[in-house]
Amino acid sequence: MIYWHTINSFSLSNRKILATIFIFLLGFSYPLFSQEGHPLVGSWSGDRLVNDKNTRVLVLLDLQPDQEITGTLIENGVRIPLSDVTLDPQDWSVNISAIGEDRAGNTLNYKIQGVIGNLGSATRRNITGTWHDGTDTGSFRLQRN
Amino acid sequence: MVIGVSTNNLLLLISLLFFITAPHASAQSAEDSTPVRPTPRLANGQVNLGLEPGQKGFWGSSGRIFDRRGRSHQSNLLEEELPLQPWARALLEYRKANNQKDDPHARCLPGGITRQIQTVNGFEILQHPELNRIYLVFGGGPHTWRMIHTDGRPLPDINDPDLIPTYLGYSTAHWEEDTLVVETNGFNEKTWFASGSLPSTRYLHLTERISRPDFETLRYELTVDDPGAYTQTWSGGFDVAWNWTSWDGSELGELHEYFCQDNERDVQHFLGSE
Repeated sequence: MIYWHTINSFSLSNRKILATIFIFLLGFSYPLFSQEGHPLVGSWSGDRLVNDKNTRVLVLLDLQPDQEITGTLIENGVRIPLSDVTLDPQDWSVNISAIGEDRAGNTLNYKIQGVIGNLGSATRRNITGTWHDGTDTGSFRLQRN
Repeated sequence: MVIGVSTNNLLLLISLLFFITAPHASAQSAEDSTPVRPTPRLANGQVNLGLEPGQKGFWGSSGRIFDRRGRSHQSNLLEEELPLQPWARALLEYRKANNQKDDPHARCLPGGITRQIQTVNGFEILQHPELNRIYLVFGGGPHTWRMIHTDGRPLPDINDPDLIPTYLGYSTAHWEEDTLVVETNGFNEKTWFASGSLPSTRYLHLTERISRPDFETLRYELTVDDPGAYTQTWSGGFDVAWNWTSWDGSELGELHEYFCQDNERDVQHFLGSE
């Protein structure tokens, strides 16, 4: 068990780790309930592999009443707003753009192109495809949480 | 082989047919002549949507909120007329193509509020005006129950961060003459709200109009308002028949004990196109 007085004695790096975990878990707390509605809506987590570097990512997506899909991408403790999220119900292909900054202030420019797999399953639904990180390209796989 | 039929044999055949069908015909005519029992009422004058003291039975066979077959209303939309958003139409087609194998209800999760009264296992309505509550007890699926408040409370704000969305949502009701009008929102998107693979989102707001035009008929009309999954509000309904006997044919006339979770062996046999 962790007590608050013991947290005070944590080093700064430990606090950063805790803060990152907290933000990560906070992301899980909202859309856990979204499973059978719009196929994209909910919390997705997984990995992207770009330039042989594996990065853990969390993606939160929500449907607005006007059919716009909004959301946030979280990686390395940084929240990056999503823009232009589209789903083509003809083939269940997904396109997502995300522009933000990493912890060092460098610009991030992501283009994510994938397809939903196991569409009907609330627990095994996934998105796989290509992740464009600036001029670099790699693969990714997200699993519905 | 050719079988010759003499006049005598023909007469014998006609006689046999008459004796076989006559009792059914007379029973049918007796049923038709039975006066319709009037709508029962509680002591306070409200329509009694459930059992009367000392009687037996429960609500059983129902219909669909779209389609016009069986007990479904003739004014219902057909499936192709449903005002689905493009993604919702595609998802409906996907679910149908996969024989609804991903139906949460079939996995012993609670069905949606309309779905629960569309199961073959039947349901009961228990009115407690002194408690300002109405309970619906469902015989199918995981044997769940639903609470409807009649104390005039408002519906929750679905954008309230403190709201905990649920399978059956939050229901509040009032009477409009002899019709119970139930408003429900706050759904969690974890189930299908009605039979027929219909998609929905967290914006789903259902309005049910429940009446009992005679003792053996429950009239159920549903208005679906969900801008997430539908391009416009739409309505549909069906009648539900009163069951006098239990499902095993006994005269008990009660919901039987059935738990979907017990010895569940169906799911492994669900097959779809993928």
